[in-house]
Amino acid sequence: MRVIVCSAALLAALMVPSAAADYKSHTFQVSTNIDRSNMLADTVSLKLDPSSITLAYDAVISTFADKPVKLMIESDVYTFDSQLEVTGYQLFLINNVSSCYSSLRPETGNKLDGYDSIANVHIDNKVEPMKIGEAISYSDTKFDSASSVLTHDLMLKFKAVGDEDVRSCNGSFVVGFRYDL
Amino acid sequence: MIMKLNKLFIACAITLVAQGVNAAAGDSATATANWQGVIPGVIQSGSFVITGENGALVTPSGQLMRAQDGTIVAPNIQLEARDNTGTAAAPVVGELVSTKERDDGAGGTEARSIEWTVADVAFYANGTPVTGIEWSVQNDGTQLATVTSTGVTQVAAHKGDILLLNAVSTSDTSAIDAYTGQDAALSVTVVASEL
Repeated sequence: MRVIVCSAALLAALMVPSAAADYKSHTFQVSTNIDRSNMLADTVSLKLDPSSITLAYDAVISTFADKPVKLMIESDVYTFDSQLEVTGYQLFLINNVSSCYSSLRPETGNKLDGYDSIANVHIDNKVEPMKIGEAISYSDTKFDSASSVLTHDLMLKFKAVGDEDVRSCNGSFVVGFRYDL
Repeated sequence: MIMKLNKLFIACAITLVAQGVNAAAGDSATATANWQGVIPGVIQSGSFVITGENGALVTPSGQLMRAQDGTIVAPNIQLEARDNTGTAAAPVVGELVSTKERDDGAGGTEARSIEWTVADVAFYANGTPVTGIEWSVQNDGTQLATVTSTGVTQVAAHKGDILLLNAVSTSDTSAIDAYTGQDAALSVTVVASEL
């Protein structure tokens, strides 16, 4: 008698999902664009040297002296997939901001207007500075175990600081990298 | 069975998109540099002006050096207090202040003299202010002020038309070694007062 009761309960449990499948079955078409360069971002490390910069003022040009900065790109993408062909990459300026102050203390109350972008970032001796949103492409490049690190020469150039009230300035810039696939 | 497959597919698609977003937002493919700079300058008064050597209206600046004993040494920067025959906004450099006389307010004239004091000292390295190095600010080797992390302590005032401003670090060289190879800047603010 006990055996019959257990069998009935088991049958009921099996029938519940079967009944639900009849009424709630749908087919979804799902797709997505996969950005391979983004998926490979973790294979790259970028480094600026120096990354914390103290500038020297040049009275002759009424602004800070040009400051060279080295950009180093280290990639181990060649270990990621032997079938992956990386032949180029892009560098771009993500952010470039500056502020000047009427005091050595960079506080909001001392901030002067008109100095939001006094620094220009030039790459590889190009006359035109890098612009935010404009990528510079480098082709015919192959990262492998023999050349896993590439370097570029950046030069920080500054606009003249005309206001005699300016006593200090600071700023930052961000360089981005992506594979050109 | 069909329902189970659909659920699995949806879950995989969501995961792929999320991975893409994470990669784009990560720092692995960007690099940031910060910079900072100090601009020397002079705030002139209406009665006298601060100039460089021989009355030159220049921006006073010099080159920091590291001495063989490890100290940081600033060169002599000659500052002169000269009569201003123009205005504060458009100064015209005249003779050294002490060679001129002024109205004493009683129908006569009296001698003029200048006193120099140190108001502020700031040292920068690695793009940021550094407060852990102590300094001695001097007039041609004679100490005017000491500087520690707590601020400037005036030792003496210098009286005269000409200030031969210099500074030397007084901290242990190990404190300075931490900044070896980095660009550095020292800013000294002095005040000239007509007595």
